[in-house]
Amino acid sequence: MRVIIAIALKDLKLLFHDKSGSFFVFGFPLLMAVFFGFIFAGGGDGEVNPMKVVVADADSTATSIEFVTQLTKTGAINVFDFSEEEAISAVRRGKATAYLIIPEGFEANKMGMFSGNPPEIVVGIDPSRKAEAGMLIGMLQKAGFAGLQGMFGGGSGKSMTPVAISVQDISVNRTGPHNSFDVTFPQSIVWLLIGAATAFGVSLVTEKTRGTLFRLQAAPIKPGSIILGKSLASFITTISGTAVLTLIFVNVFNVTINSWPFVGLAFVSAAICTSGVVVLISVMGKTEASAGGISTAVMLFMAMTGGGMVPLMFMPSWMQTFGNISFIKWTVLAVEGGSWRGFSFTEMMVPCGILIGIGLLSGIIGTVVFRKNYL
Amino acid sequence: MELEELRRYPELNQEDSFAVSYYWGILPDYQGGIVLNLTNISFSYGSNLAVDQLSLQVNPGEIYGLLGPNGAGKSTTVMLAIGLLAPDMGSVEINGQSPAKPEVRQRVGVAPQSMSIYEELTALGNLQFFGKMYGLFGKELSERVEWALEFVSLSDRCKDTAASFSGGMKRRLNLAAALMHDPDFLLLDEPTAGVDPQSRNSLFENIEELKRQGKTIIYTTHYMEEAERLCDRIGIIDKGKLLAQGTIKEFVKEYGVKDRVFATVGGDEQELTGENHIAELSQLQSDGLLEHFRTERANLEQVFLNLTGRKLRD
Repeated sequence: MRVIIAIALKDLKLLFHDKSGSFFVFGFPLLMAVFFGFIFAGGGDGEVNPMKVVVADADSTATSIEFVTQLTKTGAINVFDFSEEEAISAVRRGKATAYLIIPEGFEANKMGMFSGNPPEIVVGIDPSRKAEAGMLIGMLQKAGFAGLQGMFGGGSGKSMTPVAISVQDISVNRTGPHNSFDVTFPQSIVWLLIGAATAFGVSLVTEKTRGTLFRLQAAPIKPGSIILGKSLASFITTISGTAVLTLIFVNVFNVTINSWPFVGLAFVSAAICTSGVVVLISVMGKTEASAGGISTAVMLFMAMTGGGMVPLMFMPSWMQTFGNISFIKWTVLAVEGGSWRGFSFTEMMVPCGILIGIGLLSGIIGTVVFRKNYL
Repeated sequence: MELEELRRYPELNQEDSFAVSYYWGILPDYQGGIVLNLTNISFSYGSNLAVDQLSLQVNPGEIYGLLGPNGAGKSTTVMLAIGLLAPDMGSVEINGQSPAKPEVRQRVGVAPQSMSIYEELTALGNLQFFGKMYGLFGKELSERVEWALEFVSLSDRCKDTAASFSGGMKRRLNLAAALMHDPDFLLLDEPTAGVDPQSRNSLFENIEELKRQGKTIIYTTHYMEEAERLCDRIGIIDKGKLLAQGTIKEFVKEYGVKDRVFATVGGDEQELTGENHIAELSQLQSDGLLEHFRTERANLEQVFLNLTGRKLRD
């Protein structure tokens, strides 16, 4: 174990000796998150791809079904049927942008629109997707008018309100982000992971190039110690980096931490994942240039598919599903789960378990490849 | 303590010093008196045969010079000798055991041809790190670091980063890193490559001191004069084959290399080809024809040329 720690501490010394390298691991994530935090604080919305909305149709009548059909025809929403409880849970866990509850009596009250007492629907939107709330409500009204036109065979009903939309703020019942930095804070963690993976992903090839790997291989140490040492360096960097970023975001930008143990669990899981991915990346390159290229490409791909660069809502649905392979997605969810989403322990286990699984699997594959290629 | 005792007997010849070393228990009990035994080993990188049915033995306490041009297979042989490569054929043993075993590696020190040090770390940091890789910690580590720095004359620069060192200083640090765990058997792969004469001489003195301490050394080089100065026995390798091995005296005797004498007569220099150079020179002198003469001592390069028919390549 002392050998592994010695290798890890040496790698950390080398990282801190490289000023630009340590900036991209520690400074860059902070700058990115602060910059986008201020940008997002200004609000705004825009063109989006179909939004994932879960619908709980408690009325289950021809009118409610027609309403949902009209909603899907807008082309801006992908609708999925859920029970009310499942729908709320899905949004809270970040699996859907919004939920739509059509209560019983929706059809029975359809004529109320002429008397100022229109049928009511309940909408809940992911607090981190508030930019999309206005667009969703607009589409709900449009679907309501479309239903009205169906009933009367045309005409506009611009003076009427077809449906009463009761927006249920999830943050009323659940803890939610109270400022934009709550949302950009997990992004800073993502950039930290990317920086650490990129920095340590090339270190094995660097050792090979400079000849020090030769010395390590000739020493009476287990081959796994070399890999574990590098992995430990990545783990320490990630954990210490997340701790520093958390302190800054909590104290300076007033970021919400709902559960410190859960946030800690998220950080440890993300660190294990990154350390494993570092091992896998490090054995893939033959030269420093190729290792650096592979490292950057893998991390950018993970960031892209996992919503680390472009929010998943702007991507096609198949891409959003494909994003499940990205540990970036699960890192964001785990950190949000511990910070403002108010996940239960069971809910935390999903992203954290996936992160640890990815880390262990990557680490094992990387170690096998290392033993095969280097020894 | 035993080493100090041994040093009281500088007049001992090489064989005697082995005996004294065994007596004092300085050298381990090598099986059959051989430290390294390569038996008929072959190794290929893909379709390129790098080492071809090579056999050699290195005896305890000797410096064995492995000579050959670049690409001859010297470094591959070193990697096979320390178990970093497994031979396609044949066997490698150090003290009768596989070199891949940790207990064997603990007794082997390697100074690779490339500067295998961390340029960002200080000399002290480098030696501390490599010492830890061999299980040295605490006071033992501090003592060995201090000894190694002093041995290679880097004590006064120990807190400077290796990046600020000259080529010669880096070479000395490279050697010091190989000595941290006080190994019995050293593999020095071109340890003087690219250094100035002063640093080269300092390294020679280091290696001679290691020999006096009873270390067994494999020394790869393509500098003939280094091998002649330092090595007890020499193996010449080319295209992965061991072309010849022996002492320099044996080489000169076995491969018919003689001192050459050149005489200048009538402004032209010509080599004397007779059996008795002294008689030839005396005759030229008495005839009043000899203007000048010079001699060329038999050396390893001539042996190499006789063996391979071409000059050493860089």
